[in-house]
Amino acid sequence: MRKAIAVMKKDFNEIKKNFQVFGVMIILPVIFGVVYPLILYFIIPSLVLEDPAALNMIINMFSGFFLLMAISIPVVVAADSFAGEKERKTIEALLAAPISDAELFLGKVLVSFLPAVILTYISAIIYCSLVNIALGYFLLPNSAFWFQMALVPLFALLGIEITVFISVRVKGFREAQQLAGVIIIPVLGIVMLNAFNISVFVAPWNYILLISIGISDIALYSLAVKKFGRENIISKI
Amino acid sequence: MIRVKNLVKHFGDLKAVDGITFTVENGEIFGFLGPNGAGKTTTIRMLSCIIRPTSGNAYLNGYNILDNPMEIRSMVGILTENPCLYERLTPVANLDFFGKLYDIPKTIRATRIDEILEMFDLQDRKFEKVETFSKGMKQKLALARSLLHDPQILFLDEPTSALDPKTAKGVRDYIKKLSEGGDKIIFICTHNLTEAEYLCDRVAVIDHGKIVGIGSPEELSRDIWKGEQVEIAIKNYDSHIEQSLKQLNFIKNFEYQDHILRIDVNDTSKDNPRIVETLVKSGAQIVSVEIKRHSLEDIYLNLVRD
Ligand SMILES: Nc1ncnc2c1ncn2[C@@H]1O[C@H](COP(=O)(O)OP(=O)(O)OP(=O)(O)O)[C@@H](O)[C@H]1O
Ligand SMILES: [Mg+2]
Repeated sequence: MRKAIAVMKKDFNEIKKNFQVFGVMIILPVIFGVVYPLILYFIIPSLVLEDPAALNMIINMFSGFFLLMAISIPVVVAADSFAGEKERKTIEALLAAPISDAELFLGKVLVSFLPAVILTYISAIIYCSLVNIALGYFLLPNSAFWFQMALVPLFALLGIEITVFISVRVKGFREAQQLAGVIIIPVLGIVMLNAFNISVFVAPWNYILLISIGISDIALYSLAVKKFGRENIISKI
Repeated sequence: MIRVKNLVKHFGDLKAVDGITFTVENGEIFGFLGPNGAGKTTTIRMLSCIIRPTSGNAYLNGYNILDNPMEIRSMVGILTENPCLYERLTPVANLDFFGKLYDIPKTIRATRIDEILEMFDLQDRKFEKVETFSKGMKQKLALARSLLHDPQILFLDEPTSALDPKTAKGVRDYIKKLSEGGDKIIFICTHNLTEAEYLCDRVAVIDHGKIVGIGSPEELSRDIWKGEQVEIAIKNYDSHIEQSLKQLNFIKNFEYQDHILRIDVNDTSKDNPRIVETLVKSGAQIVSVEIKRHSLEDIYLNLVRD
């Protein structure tokens, strides 16, 4: 575990110096956590009176964006951490060091996972507070929002795992990022449906979603550890 | 001690390493020579537990690469073919990270890093990003990293390939000093045969995944040329001298060209005095006598044929 944390810190220090990655980590929370809620904050008072249905739709849609954030940030970070380490040919010295495949993998998962989840939650808290203040009564988090928050870590992990599978195959982190980025589309679908009140965040769909993503996360994890194992990676250097 | 037994590595149909067996003793500097693509790097990668062999095994100080990879990785230091440095980080951050991986206690890590940066003359750049470094500086830093945990066995894949002559000499002297008096094993891949000749106690030459020669340069030379050669410069060579040489039955072969007489014998220390005596008696005016040593380059070129 100590070595996994060392890997996480090292990767985080590298990411901080890479604007392409760090930029995404900053911009998404700013958009979803500050810009959107501020827009709502200013349009809510007029909408409350004029068009309650539209208001509902906008709030639902914006709420769904946190899932997008939960899956986009890990994809970008994991692409740099997994495919980037391979592309920059720094992986060999790392594989020669006394660290197990599992610890190395965990370190790289953590650096993709922790910042994403923490940033998503912080943005969500700001968003809910601003919306409630603007409305003048307590709306968020409602039960659908809580379900989304429960899905945040599960989506983040799923994004990482898929990026790992792609990273092992492709040459560079850019390619990994683009291919893995495709998984945002189904998430966008869910968010849009939610906006039109066709929500998967109500029972029983919410439980089905939660359980199926949870199971995929666990099943894919050990597979991904193997994929990113020494033998697999070095044969692609 | 390193004992390699029948080590094989296939990449698909390609036999990169094709059943090699050899031993390296403690305290030795061992050179691993061979043409591009011969399988040197692949061998080092197997011995340092980066990749697993297709078959065969190797024992490093009693641990074997199949069952004890973690123990071996802790014990071994490796300078990889690519420097493998995190370019966006500083030398100190790079070394500190590997210090953690190699379990160097926090209390001594910073001092050790300072020491080793000092040794490789990188102190004044230690807080700059590695991406601003020259190629040779990166190689020095990678070398520093491989030595950080004071490994018992050191694998160096072309340690001086990017270094200027003076720095290369510094590194060679350092390697020599590192080995002196201790029981460390230093295993060097190099294309620089002068370097190998200067540093190595023994060398192995690998070609197409197979070892084609192994031993000290003298042993290899004796094996290839089945004996030694002495070169004698003579001012007045004539048929009389030639006749007297033919009387000496321990001479295997000789030729005279451009005032130089080249004689093949089994053992120069025994045979030279008798040759000189015979030549002088038959009136030869000897200018010089020299035992011809085959350079490692001669040996290498003889072993590696297309
Ligand atoms: N990961 C890999 N996948 C496929 N083939 C490989 C791989 N690594 C090495 N090879 C092949 O194995 C052979 C031996 O390569 P290796 O790198 O060990 O050679 P080398 O002796 O170190 O050469 P050089 O002096 O050029 O460094 C080469 O033909 C190479 O193409
Ligand atoms: Mg090589």
